[in-house]
Amino acid sequence: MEHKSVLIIGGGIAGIQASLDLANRGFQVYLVEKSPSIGGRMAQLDKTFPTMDCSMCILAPKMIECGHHPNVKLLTYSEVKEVKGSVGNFKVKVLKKPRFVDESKCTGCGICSEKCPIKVPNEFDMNLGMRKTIYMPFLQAVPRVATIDKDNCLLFQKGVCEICQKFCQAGAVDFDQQPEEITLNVGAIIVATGFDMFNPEQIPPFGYKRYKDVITAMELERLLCASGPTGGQLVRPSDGKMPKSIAFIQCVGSRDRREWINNAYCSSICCKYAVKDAVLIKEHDSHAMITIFYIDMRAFGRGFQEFVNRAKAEYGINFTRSNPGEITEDPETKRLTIWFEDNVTRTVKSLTFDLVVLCTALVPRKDSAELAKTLGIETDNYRFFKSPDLISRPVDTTVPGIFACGYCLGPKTGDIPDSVTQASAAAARIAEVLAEVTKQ
Amino acid sequence: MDEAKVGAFPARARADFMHEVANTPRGRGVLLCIQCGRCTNSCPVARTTDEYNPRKLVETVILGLRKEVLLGNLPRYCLSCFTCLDRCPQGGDIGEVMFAIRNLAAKEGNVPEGIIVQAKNLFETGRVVTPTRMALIQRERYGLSKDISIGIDEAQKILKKTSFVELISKKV
Ligand SMILES: Cc1cc2nc3c(=O)[nH]c(=O)nc-3n(C[C@H](O)[C@H](O)[C@H](O)COP(=O)(O)OP(=O)(O)OC[C@H]3O[C@@H](n4cnc5c(N)ncnc54)[C@H](O)[C@@H]3O)c2cc1C
Ligand code: SF4
Ligand code: SF4
Repeated sequence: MEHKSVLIIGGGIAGIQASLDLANRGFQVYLVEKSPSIGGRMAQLDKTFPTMDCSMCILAPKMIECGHHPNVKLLTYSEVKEVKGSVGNFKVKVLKKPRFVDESKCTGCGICSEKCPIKVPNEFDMNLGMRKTIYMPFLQAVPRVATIDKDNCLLFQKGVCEICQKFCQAGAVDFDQQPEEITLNVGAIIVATGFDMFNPEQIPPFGYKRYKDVITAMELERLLCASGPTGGQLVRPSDGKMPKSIAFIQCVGSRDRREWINNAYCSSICCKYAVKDAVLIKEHDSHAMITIFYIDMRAFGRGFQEFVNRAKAEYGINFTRSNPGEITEDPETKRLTIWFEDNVTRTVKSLTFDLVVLCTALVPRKDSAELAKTLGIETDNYRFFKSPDLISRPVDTTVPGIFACGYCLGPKTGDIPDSVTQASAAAARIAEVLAEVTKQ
Repeated sequence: MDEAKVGAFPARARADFMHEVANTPRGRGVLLCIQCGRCTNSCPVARTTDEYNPRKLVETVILGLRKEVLLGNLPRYCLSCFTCLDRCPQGGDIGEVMFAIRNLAAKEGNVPEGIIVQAKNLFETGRVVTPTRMALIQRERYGLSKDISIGIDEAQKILKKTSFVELISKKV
């Protein structure tokens, strides 16, 4: 029977798609997700290229299907601790962290969060908005179950409170919940742990964190999103006013070979998301003055060059081929000055903006080396997971029976359609490999 | 450099010039340049004069316009502040490349008058700058010799062996 069960690590769009493909083929799927909800990065996006559909509108039905599928067992707020065995017979130890809320009792009504007195920055909103200490990371979270963040909880830190417990009608809050170790027996594994964003503090002249109105593209996604911390209003963090002039700086931490950064690669999607976000801003405010500073506009893929052309011609977005070296802030007005090379005159000029968006590189998850060690798979020199044969087995890893899909395979992949394609490919590879193992 | 237009590759372009610069000590950075322009917009000189543009100078090297680069005066606009070296995302060390270009230019006899004066000083006195009276008093205070002609022979030997003398006696 174990040949019919699989483990998927990471519940982003790639992990969700792979889970659904395999579950629909009759496999028993265990989906292990580190955070309280599945959804990954796609849940944080506003609209998605290439179709400009609302990201959540495409993702949420898939998340719900995963949550309800009889063949999918969700293990959220959990981590893989140990993997032994080989293809056809892996023994896996999963650590289920205590949420201090009984998943089988919680109805997701949210009264606990409403009553909890402690507010902390919400990671899901890139810390631009606040959440309570007992929380659901976002409205459409799956499972719809609250989680207590122990580090900020009054009861755990100061020994008094228990307000959430008093108000919970379902009696789901359980401060005595213990970590649980679950042992699984699976035939094959898919890794789909996605990516982290490059921290632009590593490039001090851009002033990220020093200047309030220098933000990252992921932060911009949250500011543009109707369910985000500002309800979809694009505002300057410094004064809460709408920015009239906005600059995008491309390749922040991508194609950067300096020793302390060491990302020679092109992240492969930032040009596309920058043009998307610029168009979205124009749709919010057609008078906004937008300039995209780029090195090369890498708008490959069906319809993207045309999209860039439209962004220039129809939306009047400026494209300037110059890679700025620094941002300076006027201490009084908080406006931001960027020096660049004018493309026509080839002379150095400066322009001043209300808001600057850094299009930061996509980098491996912080713990990718550790996870690779647990699984026994190899990584490349950037710490993305490695395929043994990029041409003919692109979703394999260096261990038979362990596959990978989505951005954790590195920038050769890129966007959501690619991640979905790879997820289906990895699911198909599992069906093929396990059929073979069963035959033997 | 008007001839360096797309499609009109000038007859005097030398494809190997980029490698000539790269193979000169400190010149390796040209091979890394992706023409992003960050050096130019970070450069304090380029912000004050339109004549100087480090990215464009590297472009001229890549295009192989040897004569324009080596007989011109542009590499000497560089202040060696090394802001570009700090910021170039390719680790292109463009401030260093300027030294390589200056040295190649010197080989072609392109050395400015002021440098020739300093170089002659170096050969004749063993120093680029002759110590002032104050400096000599200071030396004495620290217990150093007031005789500043010590070591001229050795210095001259080195300068002759490294063909420094030949270099400074050449003129454009
Ligand atoms: C600013 C921005 C805008 C974008 N816009 C678009 C767009 O418009 N259109 C488009 O097609 N693409 C867009 N993308 C790209 C898109 O976000 C990715 O292609 C997609 O999210 C990749 O999905 P994934 O499942 O591989 O990774 P992720 O979405 O990162 O999901 C990985 C999941 O794995 C979990 N995880 C991580 N480590 C572990 C672990 N050790 N154990 C268990 N679970 C773990 C994470 O919590 C997460 O839920 C954008 C990206 C950015 C940065
Ligand atoms: S996609 Fe564009 S912005 Fe991103 S690294 Fe590549 S070239 Fe730079
Ligand atoms: S910063 Fe570096 S890569 Fe960019 S143009 Fe200057 S030398 Fe070339």
